[in-house]
Amino acid sequence: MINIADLTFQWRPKGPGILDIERLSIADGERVFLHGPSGSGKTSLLNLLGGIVLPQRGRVELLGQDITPLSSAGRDRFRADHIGLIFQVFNLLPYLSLIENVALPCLFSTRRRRRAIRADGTVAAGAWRLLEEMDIPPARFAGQPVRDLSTGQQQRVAAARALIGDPEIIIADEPTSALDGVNTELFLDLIIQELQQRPTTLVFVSHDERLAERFDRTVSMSSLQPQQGATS
Amino acid sequence: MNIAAVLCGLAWKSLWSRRGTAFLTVVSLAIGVALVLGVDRLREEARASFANTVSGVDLIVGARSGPIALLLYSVFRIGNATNNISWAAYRRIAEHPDVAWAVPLSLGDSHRGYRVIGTERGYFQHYRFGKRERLAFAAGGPFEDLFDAVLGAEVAAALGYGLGDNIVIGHGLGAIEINKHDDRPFRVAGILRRTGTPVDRGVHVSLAGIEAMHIDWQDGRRQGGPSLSAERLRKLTLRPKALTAALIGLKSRFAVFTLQREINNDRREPLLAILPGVTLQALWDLMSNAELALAAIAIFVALAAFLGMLVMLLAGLGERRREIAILRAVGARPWQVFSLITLEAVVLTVLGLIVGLGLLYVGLVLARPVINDVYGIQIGVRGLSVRDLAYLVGFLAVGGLAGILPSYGAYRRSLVDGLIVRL
Ligand SMILES: Nc1ncnc2c1ncn2[C@@H]1O[C@H](COP(=O)(O)OP(=O)(O)OP(=O)(O)O)[C@@H](O)[C@H]1O
Ligand SMILES: [Mg+2]
Repeated sequence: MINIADLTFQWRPKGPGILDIERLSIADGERVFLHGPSGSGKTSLLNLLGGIVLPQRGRVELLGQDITPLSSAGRDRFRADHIGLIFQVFNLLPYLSLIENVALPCLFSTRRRRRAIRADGTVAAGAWRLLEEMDIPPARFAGQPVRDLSTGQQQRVAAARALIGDPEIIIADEPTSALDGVNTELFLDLIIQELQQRPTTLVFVSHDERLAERFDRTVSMSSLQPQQGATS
Repeated sequence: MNIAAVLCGLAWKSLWSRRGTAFLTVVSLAIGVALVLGVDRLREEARASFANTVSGVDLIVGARSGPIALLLYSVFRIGNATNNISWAAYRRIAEHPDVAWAVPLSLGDSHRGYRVIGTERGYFQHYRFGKRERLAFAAGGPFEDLFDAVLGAEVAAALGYGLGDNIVIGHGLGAIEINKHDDRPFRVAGILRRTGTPVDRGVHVSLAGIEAMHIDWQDGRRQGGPSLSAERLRKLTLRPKALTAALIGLKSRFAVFTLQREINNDRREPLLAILPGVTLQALWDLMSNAELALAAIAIFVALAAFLGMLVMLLAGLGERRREIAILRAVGARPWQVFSLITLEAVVLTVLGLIVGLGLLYVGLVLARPVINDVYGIQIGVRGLSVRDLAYLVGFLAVGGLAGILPSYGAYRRSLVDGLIVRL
């Protein structure tokens, strides 16, 4: 469950107001499609949810806990334990192998490591299974450097990484905007199929409103902002 | 799983993926490290080698010249005397009531590049090196006959001489003697144990022996007429007219300054008496500027290498912004991002130190014979001293410090960029 109330945010103390959200509630297991024009503050909102930045005012409640009073270390820990993130591009560390890239969150979160081990026996086995489910069979791809994977494949590896250790919330910031139509479909098919079996909350940001129909609910940035504060 | 191990693993893999630049950085660090340690070690070893060469000698007397020059040619066998002291002056000093013993030295001849020292049997008795150790014989004993020679350990080893071998002594100091006194060969009567001093590189004969081989030679050229036979020479009482220098031991060290003044003020002959310890100190003072310059150059080379590492890490930051964002996304804290870069600096530095030590020892082993040949200075290949370790710790600290700037850059990035890095 995600709850935001009476929140204002700006990146710099004297900078422009970026977000002014009266209320945003997302239920457990809900798949939300978040859209809005460029510069409307989508990425900023995800930074807030991830606990990377703090709002000037208001609460950010995740899984029943307000993360704003937490220390920055506490928020980092919360993110590591409960949130899987997928970026628009360049999600992988070039110097790690395919399996290592997927297993990365388990290096920083004991909770996710335990959950991965409970599910699959070892972290590597968990990574292996998720990669197979994401249609990157490691038996075929593990030998090559991750930067040799296509963009679509890299995004699916990133999805496997976000899923490992079963975090409660998955946040994806325009994960398909660099993909062509076929790859976008494949990515969505696979991730939605994957989430079908779990009560995971998904916040998916995209410009492409055609994708909205595959989600439980659509939220537009303009509906959150009482005044069009953001400019860019 | 321990976060330190995780970070070390990531730092290592990240460096390995950039092993080309990392290798060059390590090599330049290694050169800097080897230079700094090498210069320092050369200085230490040269000092130790010099300080070990002479002990228990209270005064060295020679013809008036510079004190350092006298010390260098009389004991270290570096350079040549420009003037001699007369036999009479030597006897006067040797018979002085304060003098316990005196050993004359007559230099100026050589055998296959090794210097010949004309002296008396007292040399083997009174000469001390290191911690007041006496000369000892590995084989044979002091010279008895006119044509007996006692070899330093290195001469015997290098030229493969054994007891009883005949050797030909040449006039002058070149490695190739044009004027060989080959009609009167010397016989090896004794071989000294190794001392680690220039004694190892000396061929010792009696003063009379030196005279004998110079009879009917003048100005370095053979005079006409038939030469005297060795048998007839043995019957003559040969006494040198002049010496190069003399080593003096006193009955009481308290007399040293009085006697020194007395000798230096001698009206009959321009003489110079020096205290080896004092003159050695003067030599260090003279050399300290050169040493300082050398050390400064070495340190600048090392600093330049560290600067190179800093540039490598800083330049990498730009392209690593995404990497940092990814690490932050999976839960890495800003200080962990900071440590990751610092660790890379530390790993590079440690590798630089290891390779540098390797270079140092290879360099020492290679340079050792050359330095010994040219300067007669013995460079020991010993383990690491406390001083070396202090240097290594210092380098590590500098390496870590050089890592701080890029680490801080990464840290700032991780806070300012947030999760998503714009392209
Ligand atoms: N890390 C940052 N530091 C400072 N300002 C930022 C940062 N990230 C975003 N901003 C500013 O916040 C505003 C909103 O940007 P944001 O990236 O949240 O929009 P967005 O909706 O994600 O846009 P897009 O669709 O182009 O990704 C912009 O004016 C941007 O300049
Ligand atoms: Mg954005």
